[in-house]
Amino acid sequence: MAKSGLPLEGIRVLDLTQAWAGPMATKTLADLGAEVIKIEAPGHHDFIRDFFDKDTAPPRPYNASGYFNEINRNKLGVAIEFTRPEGRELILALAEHCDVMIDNSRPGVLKTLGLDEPAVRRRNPNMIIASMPGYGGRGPQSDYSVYGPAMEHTAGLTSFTGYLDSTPQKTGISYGDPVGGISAASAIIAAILYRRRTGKGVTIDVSQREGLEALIGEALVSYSLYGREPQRQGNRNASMSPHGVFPTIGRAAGADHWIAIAVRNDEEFARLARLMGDPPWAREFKTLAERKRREDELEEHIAQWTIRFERYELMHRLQAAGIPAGVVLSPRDLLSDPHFKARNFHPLVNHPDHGKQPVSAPVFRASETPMGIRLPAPCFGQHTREVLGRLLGLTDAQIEDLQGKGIISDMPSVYRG
Amino acid sequence: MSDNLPLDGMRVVELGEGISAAFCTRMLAGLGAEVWKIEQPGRGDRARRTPDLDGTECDSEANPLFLYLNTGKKSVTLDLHDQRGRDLLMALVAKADCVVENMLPREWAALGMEPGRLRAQKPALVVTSITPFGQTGPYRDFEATNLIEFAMGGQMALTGEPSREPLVNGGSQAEYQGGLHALPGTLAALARASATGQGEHLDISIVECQASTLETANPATVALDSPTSNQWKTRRGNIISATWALYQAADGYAGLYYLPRQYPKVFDLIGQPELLQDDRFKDPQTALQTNDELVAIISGYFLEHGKFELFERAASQRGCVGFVASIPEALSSPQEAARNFFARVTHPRAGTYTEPTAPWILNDGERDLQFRIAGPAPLLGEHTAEVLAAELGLLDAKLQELSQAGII
Repeated sequence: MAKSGLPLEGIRVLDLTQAWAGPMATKTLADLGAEVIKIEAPGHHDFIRDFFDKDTAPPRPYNASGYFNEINRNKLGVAIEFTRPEGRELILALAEHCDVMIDNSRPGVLKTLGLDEPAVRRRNPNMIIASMPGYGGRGPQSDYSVYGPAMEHTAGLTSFTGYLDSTPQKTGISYGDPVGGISAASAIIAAILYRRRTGKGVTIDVSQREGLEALIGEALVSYSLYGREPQRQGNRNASMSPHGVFPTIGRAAGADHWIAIAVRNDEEFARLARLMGDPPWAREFKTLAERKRREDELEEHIAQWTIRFERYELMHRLQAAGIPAGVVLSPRDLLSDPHFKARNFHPLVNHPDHGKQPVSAPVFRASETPMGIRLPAPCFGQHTREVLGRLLGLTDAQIEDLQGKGIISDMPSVYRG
Repeated sequence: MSDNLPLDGMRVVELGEGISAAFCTRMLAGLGAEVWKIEQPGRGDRARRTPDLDGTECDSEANPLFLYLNTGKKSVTLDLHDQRGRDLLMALVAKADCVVENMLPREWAALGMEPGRLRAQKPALVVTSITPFGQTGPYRDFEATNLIEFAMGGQMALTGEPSREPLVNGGSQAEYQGGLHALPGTLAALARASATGQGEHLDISIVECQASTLETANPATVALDSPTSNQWKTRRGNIISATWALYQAADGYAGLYYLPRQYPKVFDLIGQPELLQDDRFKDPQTALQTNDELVAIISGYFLEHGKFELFERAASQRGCVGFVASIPEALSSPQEAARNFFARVTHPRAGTYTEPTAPWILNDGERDLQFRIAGPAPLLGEHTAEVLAAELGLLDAKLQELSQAGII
């Protein structure tokens, strides 16, 4: 690839991941400048490709999944049938040219394929080899199959997420996945630093569940020290009030329009009261203790006020008074929000089979090495020929031969006729 | 040092209030870096004063949030509102490889400084700024808390029941996501700086971190308006479908998550394989039409079985059920015991407690590169004299003078 000057330029990653957590790890590495070679097999395509829009799907729908194309941009796509011996040999040969290998399959799967760590390390002894089964590769539950929402449950986070006096509630996204992915990317870059200094390869075992535990550390320490367990409290906060989301005028017309307000102290409440025109009821809620004691009533009063306003207008009025407040932005709202627009957070990318689509910009806004979208997400097998030619020196005739045998392909098998 | 780690010899200055910056540097410390945490004299990091999750006021030296986030760091008090304090900061920064900070742009301006300018005297320096909205754009100086960030990053609109208001999840997940995303960026910038001598200023926006992880509600999908895409971008609650849902069990709650290709296994799990012959449930597509009926069947089964039993049974058939763990249940996980994930730490004021280490095990072929816990979280200003003497050669008399002036 062309010289980018990006932080991870020159690092080549053999990416055997699929779904979200693994591709999130390699998206992070790719955004930071690594050359990521995403491997799929014609018989085992990344099933996120199946999340295409069935109402508008183009002729090759497996290349037109918004979900896939968001998390696989900046990567090269190679399709090799690694379940067959010739395909496996190609993967091992590619491994010799890569610095990092990563997979997120269940432990044991790569061993069956002859692509496990010892097999790969024989071909590339100093490689950084990362795996990320949900519960980690060591331990009695290492081969348990697990998806993002389940990890959030077993980690403990779900136990204190939920409406007041109601059931636990899952986070809207499969939260364990991106957390596991970014944790894995961090471990890989740390290993790159270690290898540079010591010359030693590193084997990395990431537990996605532990990634979530790390984000609730205070709850774990609090229980361990003081025996306190956090409770479900809806949008409330034990030390701030009011603290929640309130309806705005669009809500009256059925739109999902809300404003979040967090009053941190009595002074901010006094400012809020002033903004509301100093209603008489507010005099009974001057202290946090008073507000917490009659919080239902307080929220009722606030909601009767917020419902009169357009949500953006209200946010600006509250912010101008120094009160933390924000519109509850839907994913769709984000696309037109002035702040996200000003930071060009949703650049349009021209994808050969998906047309011009917005993606999220890399979250690393760097002063010296601006990171952007260098490549749209690959079509299935788009770079197979280029990569096999460039790295393994395969000739056109050899590549034709592989194609004829079905070892490489530009279409997932299940989409064939 | 004998325990050779990825960031051995690296030094980090943290200007952190609360969670985001402190979480990032906590992980850098565990990877081997020495972290100097700069705190305001007499006050310290606001994480020391944040009430516990249940609202209990905490001793500022024994606050679970502060203890967790600041393991192994050194606390150096400096009054940045005084020129002498700022000079000392700049001198420490000159000795460091990296600064991680989370002050708002206008708070820097009030000090007459800018985070990017910290690099002026040292081009190899990496500066990571983590703020609610980033360094630029119309909201950059907005007042925000975790709730506001979660609302404005897009994840809140997706969380909760469709018939109710959007919901924030537990703890401070927006803040943590900012610190977590900053980690690979900072490590990569350090890798580049060590190779080329050129540092970087990284501007991390917490709302952008969330907006880049919206799963099926990604930008390309939400830009479309069609029946398929529309179902992927709204709040869908605990029951996405009968086979991707959080249920009540006999003794708590457990989520069942089976992909379409695993669909038949659901009926084995609930001991009713004959239902697969039933026209209403013969395949995943059909089941979507009869979703409520299938939800009722699975609910009935879950209500009669314990959450741990369901978890183990699903695992034995390579399916996925996750039980909703309480905090003590999470702490007593046999998997985590086998992985040595939880560490015991002893603090002079708080006593001995358990905290997570890192979600990875690194092994170099000879040994595990253990997450370093250099010590418990520091007392306020515990290392001021030590660090200023060792790094800047300040003598006792000078330290005393600065202390009397309230600078340190």
